[in-house]
Amino acid sequence: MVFTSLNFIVFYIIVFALYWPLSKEGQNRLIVLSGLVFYGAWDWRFAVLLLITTGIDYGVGLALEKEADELKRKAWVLLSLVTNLGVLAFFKYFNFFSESFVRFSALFGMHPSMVTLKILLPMGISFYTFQALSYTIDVYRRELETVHDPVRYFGFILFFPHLVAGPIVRAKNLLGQFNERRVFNPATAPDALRQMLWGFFIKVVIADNLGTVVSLSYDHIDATSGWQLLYATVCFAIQIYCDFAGYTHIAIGCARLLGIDLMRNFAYPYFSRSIPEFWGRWHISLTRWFREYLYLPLGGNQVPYRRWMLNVLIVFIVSGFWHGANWTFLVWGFLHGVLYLVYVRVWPDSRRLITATPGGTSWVPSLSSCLQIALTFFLTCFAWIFFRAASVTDALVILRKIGSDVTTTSPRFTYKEAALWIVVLFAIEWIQRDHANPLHLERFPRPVRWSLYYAFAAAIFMFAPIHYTPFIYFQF
Amino acid sequence: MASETFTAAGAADSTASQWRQPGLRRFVWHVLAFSLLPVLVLLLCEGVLQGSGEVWTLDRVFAYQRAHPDALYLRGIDQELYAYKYRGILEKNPSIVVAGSSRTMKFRAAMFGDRANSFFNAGGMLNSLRDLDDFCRVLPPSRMPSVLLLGVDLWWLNDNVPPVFSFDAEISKGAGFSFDEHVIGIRWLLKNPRSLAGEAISLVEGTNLAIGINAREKGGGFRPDGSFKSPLQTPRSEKEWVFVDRETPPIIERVRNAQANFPPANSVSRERLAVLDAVLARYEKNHVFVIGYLPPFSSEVVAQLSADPRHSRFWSEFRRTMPGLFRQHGFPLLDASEAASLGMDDRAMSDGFHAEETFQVHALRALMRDERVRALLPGADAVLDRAFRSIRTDYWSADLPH
Repeated sequence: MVFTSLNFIVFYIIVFALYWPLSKEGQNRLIVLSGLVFYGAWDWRFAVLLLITTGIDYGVGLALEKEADELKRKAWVLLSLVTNLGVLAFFKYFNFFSESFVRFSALFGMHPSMVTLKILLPMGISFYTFQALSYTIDVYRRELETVHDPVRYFGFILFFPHLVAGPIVRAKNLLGQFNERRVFNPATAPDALRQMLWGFFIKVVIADNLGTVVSLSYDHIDATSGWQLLYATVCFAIQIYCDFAGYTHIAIGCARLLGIDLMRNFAYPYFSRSIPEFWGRWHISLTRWFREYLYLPLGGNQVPYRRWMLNVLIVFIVSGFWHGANWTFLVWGFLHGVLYLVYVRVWPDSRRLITATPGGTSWVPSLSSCLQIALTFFLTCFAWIFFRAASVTDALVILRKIGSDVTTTSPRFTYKEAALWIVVLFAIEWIQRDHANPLHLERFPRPVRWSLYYAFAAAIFMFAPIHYTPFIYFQF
Repeated sequence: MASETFTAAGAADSTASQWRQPGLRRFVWHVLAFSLLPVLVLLLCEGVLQGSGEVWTLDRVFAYQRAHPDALYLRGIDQELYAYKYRGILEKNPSIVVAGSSRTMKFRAAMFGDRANSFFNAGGMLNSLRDLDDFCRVLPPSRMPSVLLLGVDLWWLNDNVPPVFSFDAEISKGAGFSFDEHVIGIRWLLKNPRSLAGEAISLVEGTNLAIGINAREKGGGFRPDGSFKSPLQTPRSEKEWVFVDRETPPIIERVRNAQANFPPANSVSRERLAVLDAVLARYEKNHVFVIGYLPPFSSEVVAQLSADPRHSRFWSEFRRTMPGLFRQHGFPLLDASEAASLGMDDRAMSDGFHAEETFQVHALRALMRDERVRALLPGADAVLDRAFRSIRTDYWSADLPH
C-alpha cells in the first residue's frame, strides 16, 4: 500500500477512527496490526520475513538485558547484526556481488560460473533494518533499556508511516512514545494535515511530472542532446528531492495525527551553501544513523587527520552502497565524500551553516550566498548524474554530451511545464524556509489559508499522473 | 512538538473515549467542513458525467440506443471509438459492415435498401493496416459479415506512418467501471467550466436525448447503425456552399509540409501490401465479399499529392496498385480519391479528406455499377434514386428514409 493511493486514504481514515478511542495497549496493538496490513498489502510473504527479523531483534534485546558477560553480549549483538545485515545482503546485494566477482575474475582470465537469482527486493528493507539495528546496538551499549512488551517493540518497527521509507528514527527517540496513551492534540493536528497536503503536492504534482521529463532523457541518452540531459539532470535533482521529501512529509503528518513525532528528514537542502551543509539538510535521519553507528565507532574526528578523511570517505561510500547494489551509487557516495572533504579543507566553517536559516535570513540573499547556493546545487547535480544513470558508462556518456552538445534541441512543452513547477517549489520553500513545514500558514486568516489549501488540493487532483508512480526510495 | 503532545497526554483521563473530547470532534468537523466544497464539486461533476452518458458502459449505450433510436452517441473525453464500433458488430451481428477510418463513417443503413436492418458502420475503428489485420484476426467467425465495405487510406501503405493504436487495448475499453476514466472526466469538466455548466443545466431540463458530452453539445454523433451524423450546420443558400477545410491544421497544410499522415514516401510499402493481401485472402477464404473503397480528398489536396515530388510517385503507385490487388481476390474497388470522378466537387467535403453523406450516396451508386454489388444490395437502387431526385438532398445531406 502506498501513500498516494486511494486505498491508503481509506485505510488511514479507518485507522484514525479506530485509534483514538483505544487505550495505550489498544493503540499499540492497532499500530502493529495496521503495519502488517500496510506492509502485507504489498506482499504478505515479506511481512512474514519482517516479523521473523523483528522477533529475533526483540529476543536479542531480552538476552542482552539478562547477559552480564561482555563476550556473550557481543555474540548476541552479532547475531542481530548478522541476521539483519545478512537478510539485507541476500535480498539487495547478492546479485551485485555475484556479477562483480565474475567480472573481476574475468580480468585474470578466470570464468567462474556464478549464480544470479531473480530476487524481489522487500520494500523498505534498508530502512527497517537500520531502524531495528539502532535498537539492538543501543541496548548493547546500555544506552537504552530493553523493551519487554513485544507489542511495543513490534509497534516501533511496524509503525506504518515510517516503515518503508523512513525517517529512520532511533529506538531511543521513538520507543518512549509508545509508553503512554497518545492523546489527540488539536493544536498540532491541523499542521499535520497541512504537512501531508504539502507532501502529496510535491510528490504527485512536482516529482511525478518531472519524472516524465527525466525518463524521456535518461532512458534514451543516445537520442537526447546535451542540453536536454542537462535539463533532465536538474529535473532529477528536484524529482528525487520532492519524491523523498514528499514521502517524508506525508509520513510525519500521518504519524503526528496519531500522536507520534517522527524526526525531520529534510531541511531545504537545495538552499545549502556548501556540501557539508547539504548533508546536514538532506536525509537527515540516515546521516545521523551513519554518524552514530558508523562514523563515531570508526573514531569520528578523534583520530589523525588522514584517518579522519578515510572515515569520512568510508561513511559516504557505505551510504552510497546503502542506496543500491550498483557501482553508480558507490561513485555517487565517493564523489560526495570527496566534495565534503574539499569543502571542510577549504571552508572549515561551512559545516556550521546547518544550524542557520537556509540561504541566510535576508529575503534577498547576498551575491556571495547566491553563488554558494548555485555552486552547491551544481555539485549535487553533478553527483546525481551517477545516481540516476543506469551504469557508470552511461553517466560518463551523459557528462560528455553535456560538455560537448548543449545547443541542438530546444526544450519541448513539457519541459517548460517542468520549469514552472520548479519555480513554484523554490518560491514557496524560500518564503517558508524558517518553518519545518512549508505549508505552515498560521499567520494568515482562515479564508486565505483555506483558499491556499484548496489550490494545492486542486493542483493535486488536476495534475497528478493518472497512473501511480512508485516512490523512488522504495527501491532502496 | 513532542512535549506539547505528551503534556496533553498526561492531563487526559485515560479511560474516557477521546471521541468525546471537544478538540478531536472540532478537528473532525473542521476537516469535514473543509471537504464539503470539493466533495460537492466532485459530486456535481460525477453527476454530469453520469447524466450525460459520458462514462456509461457500452452495454448501457447500446441498450439506450435500442430504446431511443434517435439518440446519438459521441463522448467528449475519450471517444472509445474502437470499442463502440467493434462491440457494435458483436452486439448487432450485421451482414453488411462498413469498416475503415473516420473517412468511411457516413455510410448509413438507409442507403442499403432491403438490407438496412442488417447493416452496421464500423468506420473510425481501422486507422492502419495493423488495425485491419487485428480486426480480421479477433472477430469471431460467427460475427463475420457477408459483405465488408472496406475504406483503405493512403497512409496505410506508407512505411513512414507508424500505427498509433493498439487494437486489442482499444476494443477492451468501455466494458466496465474505470476509476481512471472518472478522474479524467472530472478533470476535463473542471478545465471546461462552460461545458460543465451547460451540461448541468441541460440535465435539469432533461430534453437532450444524446449520449456523451460531444453529442449533447454539438449535436453530432453516432446513430444506432454506427453511422456518423455530422454536427455541421447546413449552409442556407447556394452562395454559402463554399469549401472550407475544417481540420486543424488543414489537410492541405499537412500534405504541403509532409506531416502527420503524409510523410514523404517514394513507393508503396511492400511489407504492408503483403499484409493487406493476406487479409483479403483470409476474407476470401471465409466467404466475406469485400468491396474496396478509396475515400476522397479535396481537389487541392489531390493536386498537391499529384504534383509534389515527395508524394507523387507513392500516390500514383497506390492508386495503380489497389484495384489490381482487390481484383486478384475477386473483389471490386472504387477509387473515389477525386470527387470529380463521381461528378462531385469540393462542396461535398467538410475538410480536405472527409466527405459528407451525399458523397457516400454517389459512391454507393458508382459501386452498384458492378453487378455483384447490385445483386448483394436489393432495394438500394430505389433508395438512391429517390435521394438523387429529392430537392431535400444537398451537397452534404441526402434525403434518405429514416
